[in-house]
Amino acid sequence: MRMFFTRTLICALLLLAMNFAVQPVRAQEDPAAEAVAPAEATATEGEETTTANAEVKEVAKPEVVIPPPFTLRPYNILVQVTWPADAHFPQSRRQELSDAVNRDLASRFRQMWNLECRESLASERQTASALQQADPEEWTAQYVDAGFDKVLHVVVEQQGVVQKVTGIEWCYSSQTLSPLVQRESRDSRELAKLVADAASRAFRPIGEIEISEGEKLEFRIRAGEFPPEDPALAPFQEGQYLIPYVRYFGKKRELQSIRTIPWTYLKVVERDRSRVRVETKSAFGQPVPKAGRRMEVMVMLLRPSWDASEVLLYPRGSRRTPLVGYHCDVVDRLPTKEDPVPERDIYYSTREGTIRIPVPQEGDPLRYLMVHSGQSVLAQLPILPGTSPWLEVEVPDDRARLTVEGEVSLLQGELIDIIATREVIFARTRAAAKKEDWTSFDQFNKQIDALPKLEEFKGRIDTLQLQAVYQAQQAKDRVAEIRIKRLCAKVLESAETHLDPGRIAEFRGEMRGVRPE
Amino acid sequence: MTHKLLPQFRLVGLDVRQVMRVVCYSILMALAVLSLSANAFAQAETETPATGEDGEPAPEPDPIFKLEDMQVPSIDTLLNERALDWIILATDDVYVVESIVPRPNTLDKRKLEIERKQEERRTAPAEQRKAIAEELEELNYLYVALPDVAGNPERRIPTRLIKEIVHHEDLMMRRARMLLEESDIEHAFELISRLEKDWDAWPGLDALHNEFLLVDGKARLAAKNWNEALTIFRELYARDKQYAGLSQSYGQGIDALVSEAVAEDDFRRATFHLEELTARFAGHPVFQKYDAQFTAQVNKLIAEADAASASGDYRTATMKVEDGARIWPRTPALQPAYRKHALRYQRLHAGVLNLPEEGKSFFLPAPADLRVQPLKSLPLFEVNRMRDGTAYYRTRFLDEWEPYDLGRRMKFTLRQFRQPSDMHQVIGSPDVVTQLLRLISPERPEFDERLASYIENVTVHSPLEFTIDFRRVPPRIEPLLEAIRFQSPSASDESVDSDETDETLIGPLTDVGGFRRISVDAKQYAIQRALPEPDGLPVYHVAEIVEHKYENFEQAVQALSRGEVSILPELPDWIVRQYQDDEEFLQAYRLEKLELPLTQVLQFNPSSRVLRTRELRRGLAYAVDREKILKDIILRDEKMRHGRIITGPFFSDSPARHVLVEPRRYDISSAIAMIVAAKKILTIQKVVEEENLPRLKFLVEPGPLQEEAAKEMARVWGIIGVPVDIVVGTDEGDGQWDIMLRSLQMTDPLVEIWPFLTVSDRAQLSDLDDYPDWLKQEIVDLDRTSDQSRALERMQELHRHLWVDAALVPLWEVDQYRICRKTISDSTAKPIYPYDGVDHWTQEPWFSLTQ
Repeated sequence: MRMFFTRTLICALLLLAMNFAVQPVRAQEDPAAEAVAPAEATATEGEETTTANAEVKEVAKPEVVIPPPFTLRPYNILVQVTWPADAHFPQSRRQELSDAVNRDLASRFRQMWNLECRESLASERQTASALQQADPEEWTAQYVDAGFDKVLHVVVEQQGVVQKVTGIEWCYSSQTLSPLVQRESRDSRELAKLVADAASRAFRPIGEIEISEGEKLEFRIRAGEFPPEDPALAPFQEGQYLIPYVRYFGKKRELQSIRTIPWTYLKVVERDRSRVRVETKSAFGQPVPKAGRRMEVMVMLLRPSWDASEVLLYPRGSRRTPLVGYHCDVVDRLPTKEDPVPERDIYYSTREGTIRIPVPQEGDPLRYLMVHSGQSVLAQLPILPGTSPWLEVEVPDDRARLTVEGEVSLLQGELIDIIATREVIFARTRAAAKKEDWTSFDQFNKQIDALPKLEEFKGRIDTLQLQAVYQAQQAKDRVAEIRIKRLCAKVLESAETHLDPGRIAEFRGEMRGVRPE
Repeated sequence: MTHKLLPQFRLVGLDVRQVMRVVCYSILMALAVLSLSANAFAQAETETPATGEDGEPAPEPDPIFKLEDMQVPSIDTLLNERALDWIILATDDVYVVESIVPRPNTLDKRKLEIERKQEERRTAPAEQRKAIAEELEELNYLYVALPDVAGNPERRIPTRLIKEIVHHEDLMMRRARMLLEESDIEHAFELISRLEKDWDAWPGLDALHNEFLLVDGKARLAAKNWNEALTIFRELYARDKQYAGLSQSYGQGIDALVSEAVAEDDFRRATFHLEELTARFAGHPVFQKYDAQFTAQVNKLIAEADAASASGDYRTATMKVEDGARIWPRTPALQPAYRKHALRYQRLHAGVLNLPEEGKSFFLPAPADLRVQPLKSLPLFEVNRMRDGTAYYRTRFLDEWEPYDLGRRMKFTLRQFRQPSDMHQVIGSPDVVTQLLRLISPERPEFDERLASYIENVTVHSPLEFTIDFRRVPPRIEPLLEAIRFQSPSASDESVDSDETDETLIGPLTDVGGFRRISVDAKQYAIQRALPEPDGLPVYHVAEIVEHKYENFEQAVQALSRGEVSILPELPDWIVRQYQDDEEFLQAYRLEKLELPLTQVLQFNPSSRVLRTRELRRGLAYAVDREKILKDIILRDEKMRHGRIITGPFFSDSPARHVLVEPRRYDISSAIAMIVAAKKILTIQKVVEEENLPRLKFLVEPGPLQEEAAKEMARVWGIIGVPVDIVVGTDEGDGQWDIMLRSLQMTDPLVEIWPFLTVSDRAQLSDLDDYPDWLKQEIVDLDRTSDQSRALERMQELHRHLWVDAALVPLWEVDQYRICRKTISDSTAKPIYPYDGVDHWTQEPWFSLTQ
């Protein structure tokens, strides 16, 4: 109860502050604020000039623009709908439908969205196939100055009695396009709802980093304090995955670049109104940086939108020669000594160097992709199948090490061959001596002499190591170099242990007294 | 004699011994009475002392018998007892004496001696005449020894009193004749054999032998042992061609055999017997009977052949005259009819040991399948020749194929014309492109993953031109596109071709031609030209190949010499060598070496858990004495002139071979060592329990030599502790195998090594799943290398690694030969496979008049 009062009080104070600052205060980075502010500023200036002229001329003071807190900052959303241009959709009906969509979305998201919903202008009309091939850069160029946080474009196409609805979202913050959302219905009465559904589904809420201390990561949710009516539409629910990205600014606070953090997903583990705590799933140690003065660390909701993801595997620096026939495991958790994860989905990369990982039917959608090369694991990456149709994985070029692995395997085989043969010849020599078959005895002794010696083996291992290490050094692959040396050292150790010349000398000593002079 | 009387004595109720005693006494009494007169004569003539010096009573008189009482001794007496001769006096009294010397014709010889002595006396000086006279006097007496008499058995009988001497041998012959009369062939043969053994030429023995042979032959005829009877008659014929009754009996035997052969529809056998008969007895009635009968039959077939030919059914016409030649090649009207029909529709008969499509448990194409495969499905490119181990290709469909854009694009122009004798049809772009699209469409069963990975785009410019754009440049285009093969629509699935929903079908398909299988008798396999040659051509070519199966190579060679077949496409080396220097043989036949040798290897099943252990594979490899098997079983040639030990699955002169790889030695010590190591490893890996290896299934390609070699390998493996069950390729199997003995001809290792290693017909990535990553990547890298020389380097390295890994056991390569009758004209200079260019072969009609 006490908690409730505290929270209510905080909310009330915040609302008061927001109302207080709603006109003169503008969010510095809010595109809507940026776009609207000059106009309003101009208007204000105009009014003030008139007043000044009419009344007492006052010295103009610089306005303090205080942006609303991130969690109280609603999204400025533009929803454009491209209705079919045929006789079934006259102007009046299109207007009705657009109004209905506006009402539906407004009721769903309430204060969370500052919504503008309208039919696409002739120049803005799209088709489903055009949306499929939409280029984020073109959309960014078109809408970056429009003052919207999100532009949701929904295309309605009538195919026979079926109405197909395709939606897409452009995000100002990440300057990316969302995956396509497709719906269809045969009931024309549901068309407005269908469009609203598509827009809702395409919408990707964003968040901003708040705490980054070691493994502890917490984010603020944009407009998190304005929860939608339907809890299912609430942003960042537990178990959902977010993708982090970093926005870099220049000295004048101009946006310079946006970079996503590769192979990193943030899983929502706890949500408290406008804040979420996340767990990092990444191929790297601590991939999410702390926010800086000219750097914003953001997150965005990630939803699986395809049945599967196609993953291209290629060695570092040669994308044109992808990895063919490589063994990949897809597991739901990373194996450890205690838990080797026996249940694995095994894939082999195709001739194009790809594997196709389907969306898991149940449980946590996150998977780990392990790329094997012989005894080495080249990559171990988290992956959310279905969130992207095409992924590319660059792994170290392991050819030199793999060649050594093969050669070492063959050398070990030869070593076993020599040792086993030597022991059998020893046994046969002893048997021949026992039978006093000195012809066979001499023959077996010659065979012992003909067996490969340790020095020969050492020479082969040295040559092998030299060539492979040189290749690894040329490729500046320190890990491969170490692994090559380790492999060679191992086989050398075996050779030294088992091809010890003392073993043959000992046998000769044993046999010396057996044969009469 | 005695035994014949026994029942009679028994009838009167007397004891046999008593009877014998009575008989003996009676005979002695009779002889005593008879001897009274003879003794009186003998006392006068023989110089036997009447009394002893001491005045003792005279000894018993010599036993003398009457001729009419004499009986020919029994076979037992003649063979087992002392040889006794009969001296028959002019009085028909008979002395039974010990063997007389000289013999036979003792009296004649004595007579000659007397004449010689008399001549000697006439010319002798006076002082010697007395001695000669004495000698002459002595020669008038024959000194004999009586058997079983007391005192001096020697007697002197004047020769003038002797009417005849019947020697023991004569008695044997008399007994033999008696036995022959009684049809006791066995005992008669025993007597004759003894006589022939002891005497080279006893008077009358030859005649007796002939008589014996005739009687024996007749007895065998009566027992319906025709062949045995004929064998005996042949012996008699060799002794006396004109022997009375021989011709008739011989004819009787032949008649029976011919009847049997005709009943079994084996006219070649019937002809053989009749030929034999007429060769011995010209104009024999039996021969004439069948001659008339068969000639009528063949004339009827000729009439049917003419009718079939007139209706355009040339195959039936040829088969009818072939049947005629089979039934009675002596038919006068056959030769022109045969020539006429067999020239129009030429059937090539081949003698083989294994027919195509015979493999059951052996799922890969066997050499018999590879023999006909290039005719049944025509490849876009086929190997034309090998030079320095590199294959050069030819095509029957393309006019030209030119690379553009540094090989990234290839433009193909199809041929517009064909010769009437060509077995293929002119094809269009849809035929090739449809095949290509099917090969690169993942949803099609023909999908070729490797080809699909190369091809970016296919553009059809016109009905005769198309272009292929490649994603990456293949080292060589021809082996890559060798997978494009055209089959006659009837041989493939028509429903697939005519499926309208088939997106790969870009136009109507042409019946490309080639040869297609037709049904023939059991133990035969036939393929026929899909596009028959039109009427009105000056020359026709081989229209059908009929392979006849024989039990062994010797039978196949015999069939060639008899004219049953005209070509032997597969030959063991010892037969090749036998005929290589036989000038007489080479006058009638061509012995030709094929361009490609046959390579044989042992391959391990990549999915066999036990054989994934390298040590086990190496152990098995060490235990194969390849040189010995090649010398003793495959070639039967110590010098191995037509065979070589190989180190890889490709030819010994292939540039894919790593020069440092040497043949693995035969080393039982190492084999045992590796097997022991393998057992330990497999036990640790829990693949086997307590070091007990499971019985491995050894699948062997069909072929007698392959089976024999496999048995030898399995025997040694059994000795070193690897139990193996041989599965012969022609037997039904359960699809399971661990080791395989197979033959192959890898012309382009860069392209073929992958499907070979994965025991598949195409290079599929998924087939490499069982291989270690390093080896898999080597194979993949080789496959992706565009540069020919780099690809060869990789191939050589792969060869070395495969050898060290014992991924397979290369065995040997053997040169291939074929034998054709010279009635076949073949323009192919260096044939790649036995029927290479068969659509341009012509065959001069020929059949053997004698079988």
